[in-house]
Amino acid sequence: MTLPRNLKRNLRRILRGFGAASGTATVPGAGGKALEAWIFMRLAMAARATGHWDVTLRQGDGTVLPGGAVFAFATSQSGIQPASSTGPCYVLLEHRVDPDKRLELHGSLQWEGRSRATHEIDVSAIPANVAEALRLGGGGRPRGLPVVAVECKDKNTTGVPDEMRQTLARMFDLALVARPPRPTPPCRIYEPVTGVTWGQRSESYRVFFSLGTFAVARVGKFSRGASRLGLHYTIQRSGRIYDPACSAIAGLERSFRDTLSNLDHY
Amino acid sequence: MELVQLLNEEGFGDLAGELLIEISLGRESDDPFDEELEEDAVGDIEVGFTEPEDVLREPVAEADQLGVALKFIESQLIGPVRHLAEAEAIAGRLARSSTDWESERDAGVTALASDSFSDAMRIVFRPPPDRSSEILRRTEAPGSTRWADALSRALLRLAEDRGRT
Repeated sequence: MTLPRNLKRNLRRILRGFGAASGTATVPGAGGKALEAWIFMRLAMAARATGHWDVTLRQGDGTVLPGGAVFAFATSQSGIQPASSTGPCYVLLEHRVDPDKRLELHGSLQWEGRSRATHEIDVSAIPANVAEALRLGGGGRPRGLPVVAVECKDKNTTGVPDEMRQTLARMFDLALVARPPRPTPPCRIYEPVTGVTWGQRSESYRVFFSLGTFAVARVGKFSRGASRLGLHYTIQRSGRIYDPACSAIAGLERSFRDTLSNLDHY
Repeated sequence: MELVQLLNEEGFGDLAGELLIEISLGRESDDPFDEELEEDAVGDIEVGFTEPEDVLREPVAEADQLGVALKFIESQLIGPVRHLAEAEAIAGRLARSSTDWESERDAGVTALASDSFSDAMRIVFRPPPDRSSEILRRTEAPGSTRWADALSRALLRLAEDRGRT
């Protein structure tokens, strides 16, 4: 179809301006992670909105990110980085009443599984005591099943069962249904050098996966087969995540708030 | 298609390629399955029907290709900008102390991303230290969706013009 000349000229001008304004920072697959950043910030605000959590933006050395500064979102992290003001930023959640309830929200953090394979998770939550031990100890990958793990798929296509199987395989490798190598006691998450641990072990994968917020968030929808698999293993299907007529992002926020209120049981 | 060529010429070559592939593969068949309405059905293991592993597609008629292209650009170019802008606005609000935020909330101050982008915080995307790629950032003001809105309006004019012919 031939575009009318005036519309084509106008569209070219706007595409040029759009490209100069955004570059590839927001184009899916080009390195930017707009979907991840959006979900990340929505979850952080959902925590603050409960009134039970202090939520602060942090620099890579653990200090508060000053107003007017830039939030450096990681596009890939090989683990928690050593403390440095130039490291990726993150969000710290601190319960207002219980000082032991502290979590960090990270983008693109790599976790290490039981097989020693690494798994990068687009948006994940790690207990602050484990993250701090890693940060102050020169960096490293946490081990265990995150409290929150959201995979973000910015394509408009329909999610198929294989995609959900990948997510399950990742969670299977991370879940500490067997105890970690001694002397680390049974736990949910730990840091291998100092032995700092958090949470409880579960003997059943389905029980483990029901304790936390695990989700695949995608721009498209999910097939019936993918949904069936996700439903059985309590992996939330947040499809059509950008569509304001859908309740996907609200559902994800609700799940996160539930996870935060049930942390004692994890 | 001229729109694909335009995308390619203006620096969106990868996206133009994806759009071409999307059109050549065909439109995903309209599966009436909607989990929000049918969650009980998904959990019913007694039904026992099987479904194909791959998503079924049907060819896109030439007359429908522009519509497919416009939806693709909306979801892959415009949507991400709008949502990153919202993330920047939220980051700006989070950067204010919890006390300040609660005072505003209790006073009924509700800020939408587009209203409060003067307080928005820039978000950049940092590559891992072992890679030499650049930090990705927008040059538009944090929280602003000016160019995304302009592109959306231009696409709407295209669709309206197509509807008239």
